[in-house]
Amino acid sequence: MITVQASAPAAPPAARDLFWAHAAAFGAFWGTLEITLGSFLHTLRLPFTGALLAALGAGLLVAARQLRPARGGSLAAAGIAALCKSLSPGGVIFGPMVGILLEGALVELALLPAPRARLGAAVAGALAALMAGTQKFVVQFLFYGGTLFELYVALLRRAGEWLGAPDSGFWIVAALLGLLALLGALGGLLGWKVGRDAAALLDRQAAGQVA
Amino acid sequence: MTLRLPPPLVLAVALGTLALQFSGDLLRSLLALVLWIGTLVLVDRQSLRRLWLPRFWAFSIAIALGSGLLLGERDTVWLGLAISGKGLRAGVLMVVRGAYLFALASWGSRQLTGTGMRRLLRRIGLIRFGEALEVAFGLLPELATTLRRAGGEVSGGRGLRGVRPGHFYQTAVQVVAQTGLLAIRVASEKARPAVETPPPAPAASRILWRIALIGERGEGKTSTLQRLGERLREQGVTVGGILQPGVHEGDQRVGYGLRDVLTGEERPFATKGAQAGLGFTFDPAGWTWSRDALARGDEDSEVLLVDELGRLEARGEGHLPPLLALAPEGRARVWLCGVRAGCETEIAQRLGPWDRLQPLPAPGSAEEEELLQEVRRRAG
Repeated sequence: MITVQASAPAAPPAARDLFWAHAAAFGAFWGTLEITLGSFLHTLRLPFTGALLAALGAGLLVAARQLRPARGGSLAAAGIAALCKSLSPGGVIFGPMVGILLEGALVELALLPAPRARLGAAVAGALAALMAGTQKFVVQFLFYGGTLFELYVALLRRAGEWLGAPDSGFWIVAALLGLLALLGALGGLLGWKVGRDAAALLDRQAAGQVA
Repeated sequence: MTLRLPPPLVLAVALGTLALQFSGDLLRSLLALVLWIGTLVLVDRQSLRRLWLPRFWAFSIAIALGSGLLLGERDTVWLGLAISGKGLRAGVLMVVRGAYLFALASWGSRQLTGTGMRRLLRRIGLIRFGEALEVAFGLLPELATTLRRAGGEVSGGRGLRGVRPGHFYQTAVQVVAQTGLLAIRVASEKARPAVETPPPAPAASRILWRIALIGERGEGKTSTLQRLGERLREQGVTVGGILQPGVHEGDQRVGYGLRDVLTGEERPFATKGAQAGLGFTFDPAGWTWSRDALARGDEDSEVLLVDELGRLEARGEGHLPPLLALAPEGRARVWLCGVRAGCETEIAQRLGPWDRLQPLPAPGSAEEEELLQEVRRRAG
C-alpha cells in the first residue's frame, strides 16, 4: 500500500523551501479568506468590512510568524495572497490587491524587530486595520490627487460650522481611526495567541503526544 | 473586432499616456484619457466593459461639482449657481485623472491574472515567488474546503446561534496548525527527487479532443462524468475509461472505488489514512487495474472518461503515466476528464493543452446539451 500526503517528511526540507512553502500555504489561506469571506461581506455592504478582513489577515500573518518567525515571511505571504485575490471573479481587483500587499508590508514592518512579541502583534494588527480603513482615501489620493483632500477638509469644516463646533468633524474622524486601530490590535493579539497555541500543538504532535 | 497588438506596444502606450498625466494640465490629461480609451477599444474591450460602475462615475461627477462649489473664490455663474471656475477646473481634472487611472487599472488587473503573472514573475527573475504562487493556486481549493469544514465544525450545523467562542478558538488553532503542516508537506515534496515525466502526449498523432471538466472535491465530477457517459451511450456513442466514485460513511468520504466504464466492473481503490486529515491510502493493484481499463477504453471506445485528475496527476503521478502511455493509434477521439480545480494548468503542462476547460454543467442545462453535441460531433 502507498500512502500519499504523508504527514512527516523523511528528511528535513531546506530552510529556503520551507520559507516559500510557508508563504504559499498562509498566503493561499489569506487569499481564500479574501475570496470567500471577503466577497460575502462586501456583498452584504456592512461597515468596516475592509478593516475586519485586514484584522483577520493580520492575525493570520502574526499566527504564521509564531510557527515560523523567518523575516520577510509576512510580506511574501501577502504577495501570494494579493495574487490569489486576482482569481476573484469579475470587478477591478487592483485596489484590493494593493491593499493586501500594503497590509502585509505593515505587518512585516511591525514584526521586524521581534516577530514573536505581543506588542509587535498588536501594532501589526492596528496598522493593518488602519491601512484598510483609510485605503479608500489613499486610492482616491492616487486617482484624483491632493485636491480631493482639500475638498474633504473644506467639507469637514463646513459640517463643523453647521454643528456649531468647527473642530468637531476632526474629532469624529480621530475617534473612528482609534476604533479601527483597536479592532486591528485585537485581531493581531488573537492571531498571536492562536499562533502560539498552534505551534505548541504541532510540537506536541511531533513529540507523539497527540494523535 | 479586437486587434492583436504586441504586448510591449500596448505597454508603451500605457507608459506614454501615464507620462502625459504628470504635468497636471487638463488638456494633456484629457488627451491621455482619449488615447488610452482608444487603445482599449482596439485591443481589450473586456477591460472597457469593466468600467461600467455607476457608483464610481456618480462619485466622480459629485466631486467635480463639489470642487466648483467649495474650493476657491466663486467667480462664475453657471445655471444660476455661483461657482468657482478654478475649483471646477480642478474637479474636472480630478475626474479625468480618475477615469484614466481607473481604465489603466482595469487593463492592468486583467494582465495580472493567472498564467500571465506567473510568466512575468519568471521573466523578471522571481522564480521562487512564481513557484510559490503556483503552489498557492493549487492549494486554494483544498483550503477553501478546509475553511468550509471548519465553519461547519464551529457551528456544529446549528448556524451562527450555535457558535461557541471556545470552540471557535480551538478550530482556529487547528486550522492554523493544519496550514503549517501543509507547508511542511509542500516543502518536503519539493525536496523529493522530481518525478520523471514521459515525453508529451503520444496521442498527439491522432486528432484528439481533450475536455477538462473542473470541479472541487465533492462538487460532483464523478456523477457528471457518469451522467454524460450514459447520455452519450443512449445516443449510440461507445464510452470507456474509468470512474472513481467516493465511498461514504454518513457525510464523510472514507474511500474511493474504481469502475471500468466499458465493462461496468468495480473494485475498491483507496481508504482513508489512519490519521484524520492526512490523506488516503491507495491499493497499488488498483493503479494497474485502472491503467488496463484506460488502455481498453481508449482502444475500444469513441469517448474516454477519465475521473479524478488532481494533485497526484499534477505532480506526474497517479493516472497520468498510463494516460501518457496510451497508444497513438487508439480509437478514442474525445477524452472527457474530471479535473480537480486548481490542478488543470499543471496537468496540461504534462499532458498537453486542454481543448476546452469548463465548470461542471448542471443536469439538463443548455451547457450540457451543447457539450454533448460537440462531443458527439468530435467523436464521430
